[in-house]
Amino acid sequence: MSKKPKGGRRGQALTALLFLLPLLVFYGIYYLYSFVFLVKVSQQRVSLTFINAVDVGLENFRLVLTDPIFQTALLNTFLLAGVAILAGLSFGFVISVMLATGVRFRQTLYAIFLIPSLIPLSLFATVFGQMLETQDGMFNRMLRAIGLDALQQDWLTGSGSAYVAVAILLVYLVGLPIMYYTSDIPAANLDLVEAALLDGANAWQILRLMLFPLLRTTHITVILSVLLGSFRAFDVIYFSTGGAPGGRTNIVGVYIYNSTLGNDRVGYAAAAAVLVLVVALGVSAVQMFLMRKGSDRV
Amino acid sequence: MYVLLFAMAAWWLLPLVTVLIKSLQVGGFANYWAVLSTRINGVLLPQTLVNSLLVAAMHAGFVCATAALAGYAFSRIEFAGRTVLYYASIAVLAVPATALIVPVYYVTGQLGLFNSLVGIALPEAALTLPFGVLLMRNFGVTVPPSFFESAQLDGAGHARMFWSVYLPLGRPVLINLASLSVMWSLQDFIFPSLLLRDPTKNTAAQAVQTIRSAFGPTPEQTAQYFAALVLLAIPAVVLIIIALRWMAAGLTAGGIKE
Amino acid sequence: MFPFKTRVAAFGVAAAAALSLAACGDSGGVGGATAASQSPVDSAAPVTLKYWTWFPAEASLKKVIDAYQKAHPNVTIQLTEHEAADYQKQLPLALNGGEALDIVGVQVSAMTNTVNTQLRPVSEWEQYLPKDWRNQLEAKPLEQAQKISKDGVLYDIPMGSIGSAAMYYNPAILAKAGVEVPQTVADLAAAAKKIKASDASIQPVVFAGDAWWQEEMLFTIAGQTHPTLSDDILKGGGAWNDPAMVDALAAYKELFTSGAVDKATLSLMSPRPTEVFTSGKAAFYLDGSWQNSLLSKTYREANKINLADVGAMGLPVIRSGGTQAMRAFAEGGLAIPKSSKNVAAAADFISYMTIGDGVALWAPDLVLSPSKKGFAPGADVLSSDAAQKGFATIAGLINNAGSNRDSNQDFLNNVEGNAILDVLNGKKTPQEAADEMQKQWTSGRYPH
Repeated sequence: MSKKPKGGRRGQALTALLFLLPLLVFYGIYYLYSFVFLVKVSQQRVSLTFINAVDVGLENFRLVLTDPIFQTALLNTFLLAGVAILAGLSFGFVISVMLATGVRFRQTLYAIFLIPSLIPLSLFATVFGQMLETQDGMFNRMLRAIGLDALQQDWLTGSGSAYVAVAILLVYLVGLPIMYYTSDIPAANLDLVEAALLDGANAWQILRLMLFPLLRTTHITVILSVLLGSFRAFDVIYFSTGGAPGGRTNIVGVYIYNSTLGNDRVGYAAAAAVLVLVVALGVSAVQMFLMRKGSDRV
Repeated sequence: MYVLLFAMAAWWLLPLVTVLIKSLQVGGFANYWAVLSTRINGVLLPQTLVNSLLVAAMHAGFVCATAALAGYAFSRIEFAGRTVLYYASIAVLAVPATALIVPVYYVTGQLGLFNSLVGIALPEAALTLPFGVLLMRNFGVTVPPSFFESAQLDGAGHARMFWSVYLPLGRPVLINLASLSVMWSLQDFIFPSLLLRDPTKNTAAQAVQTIRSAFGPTPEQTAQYFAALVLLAIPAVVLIIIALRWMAAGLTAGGIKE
Repeated sequence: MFPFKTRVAAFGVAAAAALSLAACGDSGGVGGATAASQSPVDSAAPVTLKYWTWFPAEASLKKVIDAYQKAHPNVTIQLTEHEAADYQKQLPLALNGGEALDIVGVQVSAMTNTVNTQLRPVSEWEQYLPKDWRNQLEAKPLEQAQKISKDGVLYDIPMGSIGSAAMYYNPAILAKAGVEVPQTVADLAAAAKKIKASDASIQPVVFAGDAWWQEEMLFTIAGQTHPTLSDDILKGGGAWNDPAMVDALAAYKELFTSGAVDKATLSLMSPRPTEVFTSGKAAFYLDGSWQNSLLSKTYREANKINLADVGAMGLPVIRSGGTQAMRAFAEGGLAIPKSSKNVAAAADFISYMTIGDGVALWAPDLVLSPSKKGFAPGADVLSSDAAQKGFATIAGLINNAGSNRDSNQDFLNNVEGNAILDVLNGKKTPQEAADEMQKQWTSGRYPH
């Protein structure tokens, strides 16, 4: 006989409702109502006063979808996610493995690698943006100092070099993957690795043959969580390149933010937001599907 | 390997070193005192720190309370539509803050919460909740039923089981969630920049932008700007060093096991 | 649900407006009904005025505010200064959010139409200004401020006029490299070469790589041969792919290909070029006439700018047959938002800033040429030959401006600035960029 606390099924539902009430209030206002509001505003031309709205039907969606800047921004959002994932799987992974081998000053080093990811991004990206200047920026100074003058770049004027700059910035932000790996590496069977070391395998072989497969689920977690984070990205571009040059490094977050604060373009921004939401929820659905599959297998 | 590791660490420290050098280039340590003791565009740096911490505390409070209750319901109470509702509530995990700024601006205006720190903590909490619910529900599922059974035999209802079994056992998870909430709140720029205009209400992440124009483009004032950036970063860094353990544990717990 | 809420909101706004109107009536009553010659706030209770602006710099404004507060001990003025581009976002946000500000600076060309629904027309508060206030001001800036508003109503009193682009130079660096003040781009290119040769750490020419500044450069160059092109396109229904525009884009690019300007300058975001120039690391520096402050010796000393002398001129001519040119417009509009409950006091301060004794305090910083009639900087301000000549040259270019210094901000930030940068970076030909701008201009994304 099942021992359910007092009350029947209806009682259970009522109790559950009480427990869920705060959540439902938050969700009701900030998601449900917000989504409805967004869809409504996305069909208007209106300013932030939300008065004197002009109904424009689906015109805003047409304008957003055909805007080359939006297309670039959407593409860049995925590109940025891709680079961030690569950075996590390479730099994040290697750093974590090195930290896990019992080096000295482990805690200090761990903190050093995490700090860029954990302090306010507005701060870090601002500082990083300053380092990109052609003449006085730290990167070019360093390149000059170590004799690699030829590698100096106009970081923000060439689109290729601006992408490189953003990629460097993303490498700095591998804190999250490092956390995941660091928590999982001890669980992986490191005895195997030690045995391989004794057999004379070199570091590369160990990485490739042993650790990468051993941490398969962690890799998947890193990929999914970084992908998710990329859709929330905003400060990282807003404060570093600002989308320079010529909107080439723009991302959807910055696009929506700037549109919202433009002149009578709130409806336009809402349309862009709706489109981004659709994409983000799609990614989220894929993630949940993969996670369920993953848990079935485990 | 040490060489490689330390070289990389040096590379990771480079931005910090850059700022420190720039902040001391002209005027030296007096710059720090100068930006600490004066209002910059009406913004007092120590005050931004207090504001940031207040928002972070409220945010963590909202998230932990709401997520704990919901996590309990999703893991310990059986009711129709539980699975659907649960997946619906974590499906919004991917919703970016930027996509919500238009409605959040409107809602905040309707609630009369412009220029109030609560007005920042609420939408932040809404965005953190999907993660919080995921974390607390996962925790609830992993608690062995035996813990609850003995309480049940004593005739405890859900309210008591939540209070005297689920919460005490969940303390470490809640600490993780709280420290993550604090960190995310400290990082948030979008909502403060949108909703807080009173310079005395500015948060630290927002102040990066607010104070900028107060520093004229002279060498001395530029150095002072960098000094201000360093000061704005210090609380976050201290906090990270203190709470890193919990943040890491919380993130990894929320990420992997479904 | 929505219509109801909207109605509630509208009612709220109306009620607030009514309340604040009532409040202003009250304080007017306290000060005396006529409120003409003497300020109505002297005898009033303590009042705090929230003043938001982006310009002029805090240092200049502080002098005026301090003096005003000394003369009016019951008045406290809380100044918040924003970065120019950020201000265009923050002020509408604040006013729409009901933030009770009392005095706001308005970027006359860029912002009038984004905030005017939240501002009180000047006619609502001119009762607190001296009766002959219009006669004390130049007609042109006032007319510009009124005409720019789509409803033809005057919402702000401009502090003065500014023009761009101006070119400032460091005479010491020029002398060291043996360079004369250049008149054409060929001169400038030759000068850049010599300067680089004499000291490699000096950047010969700097200006901002920000998108908005590219428009200033482009229309300044266009103005050298087609003075009205900017007005034609922005106000007269002209096309962005007009041959004159295509040629202006090509000419701008030549500024780089001729060797006069190094592309490195495009990585300097405002206000970094100013910093580079004021720390003596650049020979020439292009910016708006609001940087005329640099010509003032007293300003340089007060702000610890360690340059012995600064000169100024227009942008050297690129196309033969052209003449140096600028776009100019009224700027630094001061307005009173509807949300202000201290209208009389705010109006009195605006009067002090635009026609009263305050002008003599900020005008020597040369950030704008004042709307108030009859200001001339003293010899202590313009202490050198280069500074005097520079000031006169720029004043002349502002007075003879062929077009308004105007822009469509959203278009500029999203399309125009990027298109120009694409030409400079060799990613688009001038024709392609011009066609792209025209296509986007007429796409419906940027209401104009």
